[in-house]
Amino acid sequence: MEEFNTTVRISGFVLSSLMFHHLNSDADVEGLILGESVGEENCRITDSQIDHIQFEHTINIQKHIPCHNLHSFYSNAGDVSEEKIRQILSDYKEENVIGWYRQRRNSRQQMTFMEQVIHRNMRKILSSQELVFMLLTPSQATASGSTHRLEFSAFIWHSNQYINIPILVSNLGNLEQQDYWSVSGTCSSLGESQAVNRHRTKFFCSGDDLKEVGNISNMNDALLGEMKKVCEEVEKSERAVEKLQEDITQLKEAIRKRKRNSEKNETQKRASPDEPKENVLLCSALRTLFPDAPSLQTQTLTVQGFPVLELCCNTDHNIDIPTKLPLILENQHTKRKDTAPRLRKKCLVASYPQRLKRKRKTNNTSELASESGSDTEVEMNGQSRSNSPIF
Amino acid sequence: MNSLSPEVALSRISPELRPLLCSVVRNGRVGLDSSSCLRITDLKSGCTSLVPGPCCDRFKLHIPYAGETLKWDIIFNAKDPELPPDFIFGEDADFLPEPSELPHLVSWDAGKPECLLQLVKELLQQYHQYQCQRLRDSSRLLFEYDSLLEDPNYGRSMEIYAGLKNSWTGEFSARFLLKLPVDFSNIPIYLLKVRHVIYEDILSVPIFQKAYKSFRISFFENLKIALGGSSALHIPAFPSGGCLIDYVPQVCQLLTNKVQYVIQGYHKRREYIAAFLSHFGMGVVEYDAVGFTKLTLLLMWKDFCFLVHVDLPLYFPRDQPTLTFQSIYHFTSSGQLYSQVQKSYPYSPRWDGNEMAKRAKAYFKSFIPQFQEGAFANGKL
Repeated sequence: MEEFNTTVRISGFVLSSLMFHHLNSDADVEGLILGESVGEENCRITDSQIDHIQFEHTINIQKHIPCHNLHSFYSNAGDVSEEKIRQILSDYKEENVIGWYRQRRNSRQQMTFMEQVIHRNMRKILSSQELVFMLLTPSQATASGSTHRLEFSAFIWHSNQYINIPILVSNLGNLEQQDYWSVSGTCSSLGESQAVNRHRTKFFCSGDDLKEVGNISNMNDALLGEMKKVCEEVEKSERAVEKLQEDITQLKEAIRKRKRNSEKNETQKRASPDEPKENVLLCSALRTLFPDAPSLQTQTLTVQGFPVLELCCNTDHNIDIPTKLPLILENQHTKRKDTAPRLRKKCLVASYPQRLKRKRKTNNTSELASESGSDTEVEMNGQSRSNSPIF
Repeated sequence: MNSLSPEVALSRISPELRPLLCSVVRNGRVGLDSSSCLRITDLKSGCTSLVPGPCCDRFKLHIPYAGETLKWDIIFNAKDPELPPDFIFGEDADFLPEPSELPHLVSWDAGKPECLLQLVKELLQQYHQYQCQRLRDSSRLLFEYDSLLEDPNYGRSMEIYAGLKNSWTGEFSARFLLKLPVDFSNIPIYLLKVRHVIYEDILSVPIFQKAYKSFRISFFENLKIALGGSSALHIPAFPSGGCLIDYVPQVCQLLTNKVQYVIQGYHKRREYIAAFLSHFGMGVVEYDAVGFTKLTLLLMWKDFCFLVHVDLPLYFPRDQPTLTFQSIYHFTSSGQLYSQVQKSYPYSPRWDGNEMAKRAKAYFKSFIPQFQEGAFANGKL
């Protein structure tokens, strides 16, 4: 009695590299599988003297070669091109091809129409009759996309149909409890160390550290250095910004103070609108013209027209008479010179600038302007003048 | 299963693939059952979730075939829209068509919107051959198929769906969808929407003897109504020991006769109504201008006005019209107008419409005095 038993094995890192390749692709991916196919015949002898023969066929998947694009080694009708397979294999031998694989997202764990056609045509072309087709179908397990499921299995053609064979993953430690290894054993320790030593320098530095680790560390250091520079620049610029902001704040404060002061001055000036402001110019003029007559210096008169001496201003306002009131001095000067009789003429008082103009036009005349518009005595000849001021 | 409207399905499909699917969902009628459109469900994407939508490029296509619905998975790649699609044929895992006999697959042109629809039709043709091949599991069914195939009336329009053989009981069933050569075109449109008949043969073949378990004919509902309902059809039972090639023509003849009857009845009813319109003129209140099944007259006899409702049956003139006399003055105790129904009056299906109208007029004159008395006696004003 004969039994046929086929097993497909794949190592953990080959499977994970297959999965990694697809997870980074936005489309279905496919490629070739390399490995070896080992057959063993087990014969079990029992008391019934019927030989129980069991054929154990193990397919070890050792490597995968991804194709850059879909439809890279077959046509629309599924015709496989041996030439293109060789191109994909490049340095690898065609004899090592034990099958091909495809990964398609969100689809059923079942061979499609074209996959069956391609597999059939590949079996015709490649020498290995036990070609295996590996199918990986990742899908979303939850609606939120937080959990994904990956199903994988192998298909081989047997007895006019494709049968599904589960794939056993050989991980870091084989968990199967067996006394004897019934599959191809791994390399012995001597062989392993020889192989590793041959290629050691490609991976390890002199200090027995992995080169890649050192490279990554160097890159990390360089990145840190760049980050430090950038941090320093940022700090400088932040400080400059801070300083500028302080200056701005100070300037704003100064402006605010100045505004407050000017507002205060204005309010002070407007503080007592009811109090009449002293005409300091008049006061100074009166003091200059009548230095010895205090009754004529007062600006306040009673209703009857008598001066109020109590309200007379005794403050020296420090007015620069020659500059502010030059006509007073002129008046005083001309009064001393001029002794001719005076002609009085009543006329409307012009404004001060106009009267000033008239004064300047006529020689030896002097008069004071008033804005009240009242009649004013005007000296025409300038021969004899009164010392009284004209309001 | 989430059934989507065509517009929703199209909006979720990758833009490059949309024209192909537009042709399928909008114009997709395949096979004999052209009343059902192709449907799309279970839209999914082969891209990662980081790819912004719409990017669905794989879906399930529902195809009506031989009274069943095939559910095929169609797989595109949104990133390679110029590549032809791949298929998973549902439960028919061992259906493997020959690619070289699929011209629209070999010369796939993603730029032609009807390419996918044509490919589906080509696949269906191969699927039909595959199903016919499966009939070889049962010599009896194969014989039935071959005999129907030889007859040009049925062989050209037949879809077969062979079920799974029950390995335990040996039972094997198949569904035959036949387009019967019955002309339904002259049936009034308002009565009829589809023209196909389905029937299935469930054949039990035990190990020791052959026997027919049951036989069933299915009609579309509108066709049943058009032909007078299930009770009026009187489809003969499948004879024990008989075969389809003998039975189907009988059914065809029966249906043909029924159709002729219905058509003739329609014309006769129209003639009848026309004759009444001509005889009673202004007395016609209303009539059914579509099916010509009803007519209402307002007549007067010696200052007594009354209504006459005429109801024509489907198998007129074989079946006599019903006359309902109704007073416009008198009410019954239930508040309805007083009326009397007359089903027996002088009538002959061989009279033409004109003669029927004349005889009806004469009958009205003879019956009205009696009706009036009855109205006065039993009704209240």
